[in-house]
Amino acid sequence: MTALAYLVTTAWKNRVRELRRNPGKLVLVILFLALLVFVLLTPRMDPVPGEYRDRSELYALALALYGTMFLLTANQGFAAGGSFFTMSDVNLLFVSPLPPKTIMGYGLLRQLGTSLMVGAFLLFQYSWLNQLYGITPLELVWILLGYALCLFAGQLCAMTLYSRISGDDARRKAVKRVYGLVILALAAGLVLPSLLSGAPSLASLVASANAPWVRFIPVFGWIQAALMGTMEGAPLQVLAALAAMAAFIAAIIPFMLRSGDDFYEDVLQSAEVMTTAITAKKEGKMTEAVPRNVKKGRLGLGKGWGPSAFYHKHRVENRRARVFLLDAVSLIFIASTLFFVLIMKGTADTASEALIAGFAFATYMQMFSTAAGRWVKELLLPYVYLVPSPPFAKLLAICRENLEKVCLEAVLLFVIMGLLLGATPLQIAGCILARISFSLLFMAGNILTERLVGSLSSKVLVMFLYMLILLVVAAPGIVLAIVAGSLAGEALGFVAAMGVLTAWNLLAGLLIAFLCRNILNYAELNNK
Amino acid sequence: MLSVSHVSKRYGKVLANNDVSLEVRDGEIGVLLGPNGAGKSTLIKCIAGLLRFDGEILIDGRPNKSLEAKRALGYIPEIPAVYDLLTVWEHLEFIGRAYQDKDWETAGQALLERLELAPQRDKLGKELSKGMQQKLSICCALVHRPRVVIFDEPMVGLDPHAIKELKALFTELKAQGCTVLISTHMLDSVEDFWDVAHIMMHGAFAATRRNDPASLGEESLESLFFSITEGGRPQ
Repeated sequence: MTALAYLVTTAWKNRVRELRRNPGKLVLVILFLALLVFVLLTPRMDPVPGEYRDRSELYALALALYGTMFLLTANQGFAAGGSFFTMSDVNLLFVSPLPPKTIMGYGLLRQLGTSLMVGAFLLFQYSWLNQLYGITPLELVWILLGYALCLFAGQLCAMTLYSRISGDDARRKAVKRVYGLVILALAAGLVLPSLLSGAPSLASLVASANAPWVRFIPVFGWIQAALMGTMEGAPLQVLAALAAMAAFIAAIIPFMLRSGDDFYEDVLQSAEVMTTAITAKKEGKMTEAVPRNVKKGRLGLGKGWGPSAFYHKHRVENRRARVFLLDAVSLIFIASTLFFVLIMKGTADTASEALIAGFAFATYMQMFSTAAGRWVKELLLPYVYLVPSPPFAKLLAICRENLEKVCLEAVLLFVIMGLLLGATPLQIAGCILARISFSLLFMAGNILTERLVGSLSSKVLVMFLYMLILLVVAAPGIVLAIVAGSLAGEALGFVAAMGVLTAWNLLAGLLIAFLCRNILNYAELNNK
Repeated sequence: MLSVSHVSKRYGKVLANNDVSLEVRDGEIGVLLGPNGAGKSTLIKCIAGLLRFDGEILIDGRPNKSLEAKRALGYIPEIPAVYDLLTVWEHLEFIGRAYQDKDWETAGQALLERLELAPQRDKLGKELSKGMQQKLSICCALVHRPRVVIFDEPMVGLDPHAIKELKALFTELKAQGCTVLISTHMLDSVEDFWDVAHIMMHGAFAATRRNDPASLGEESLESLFFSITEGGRPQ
């Protein structure tokens, strides 16, 4: 067996052995597989006969996903570069007498595998994709393969860009400008026809994304074309798209390797950046996506005494992280929810129905955004435990910045959604209040999760249990809201349901926060 | 004064600290020595109030979870605890405000100068090298003028010059009457100034010596350490 084959097989064997030694991870894998089987089987247990939505919408969605992932990944080439290799590869393989091409092949193959794993979340989208577009499990696999191929090509482009421009700042700026212009031109090509048509709509956007020229866009256009060809039974289109991809990859690798003798130096640098980030994460050091060049602006906290110093510190940090009112993650969540509502608008019978669907989707997305607040990062450093103030006062102080954010987010999201759907002011107000109450409940759920299972070493398992706890805590409120909604009649049903939901969430959230008021007595909740 | 009485700490089935007791008096420097995995950091974290434990820990005569004890404690973690988006001076302002200390500015300025961080006053946490982050972490722990200071592997990541400065700082804290406890596996870094040494093995104290001929005899701290950690000699 060659050295690299031994490395790959041994690493996999050890992963399996690790599962045997670590029951937590084993439980997680079993739960993951069980959930996957459930998601894949559910649509068959409850088949929806009749018409499906036009699949050109699916191709437009695929283009948006593939394009975003490819461009974002390739964009790393302007900063750290990204790397297929770890520091162990650099220190052990690069200095060994193995042929460089073999090592590169190993890196490429492993990266393709990683991209596939990263795309596993797509498998959980089967249920709604099947309901709306009637896709089969095999077709879902094609979507996943396309996603993995996009990530892989994006990484390859990032490495090439980095190795070609990292040493020359003027060149880096020029290439970045061209890159930005190309993206702008593509966006204009996709959006302008819809805007110029006089009546911009989802249908016209979808038509733009399915225009013949789109299939010629390198990488994500080709992959969309391949997906379309597979689903529509056009083998020639699939072959042409895959041949273009193969030619692209075959051309870019020598181009990258020819960039000079410093290729290994570039790989070493980006591997070091990556390793530092991973080590910091393992050590529990707070890391966040901060701008490369931070503008400090006014110096000093200026305010805060006792626990409130945390809140004023968060305000300074937000200003420097260029978070004005809402951060990028919140804006992405709002945009995705509004996009979903636009799709639902066409299928729902009434505004209330579409509003409920939009609210449910927004709440689902909220589960993830709540776990990303600055207060969670605060739990990773010792100061919040060491400061001599009552734990509950500290808890409220570190959550205050997030509470302000969720109120603003709720108003922005549901005013726009209400206007899009033609909802009444009372319905919009109901949604805003219920959204804020869900934020409180989710924050409380997050605290409860840390209290109960925060010391588990597998953060993925903690995330899974967090979702489970949220479902259990929120379920009674949802049931009560449905009952109240149906009892109150058609006119007041929506508002009554939202009122009951708000009341339950507030009650449960405050109760949990009170019961966990001493959480900041010990840092053990984070296993440190 | 720092007093640890019959402290035990378990992580699941692993007994990290087993019925540990120690005392470091005012104006004394205590050192916790031991190989990797001996339980030193766990004990330091228990004292800092970060971990749950069985037993009793008193800081200046008060239970370590009380607000008075927290006010009297300074803790320097092994990994520098620094906020990426705050400047060096803002870290000190934050601690001063959070600890409700009106005199933090004078103390902060003196510390920055003492640890040669004054030129970096307006630099962000993320712009500092690991050594400078460690120095900032030390400033944050000392700016509110604690009576009891615990260091967890404080020399890691520091250059020889900074190590020299830190050693001088230990003796200054001692001269001010502070209680100092240092956890380290670098024997030579503490041999000049320790008052009481505890050598840990497998979560318990294998030996305790005071820095006087009656306790230590002819044996050096280093030879005692190796005879215990390599030879398993019970003390």
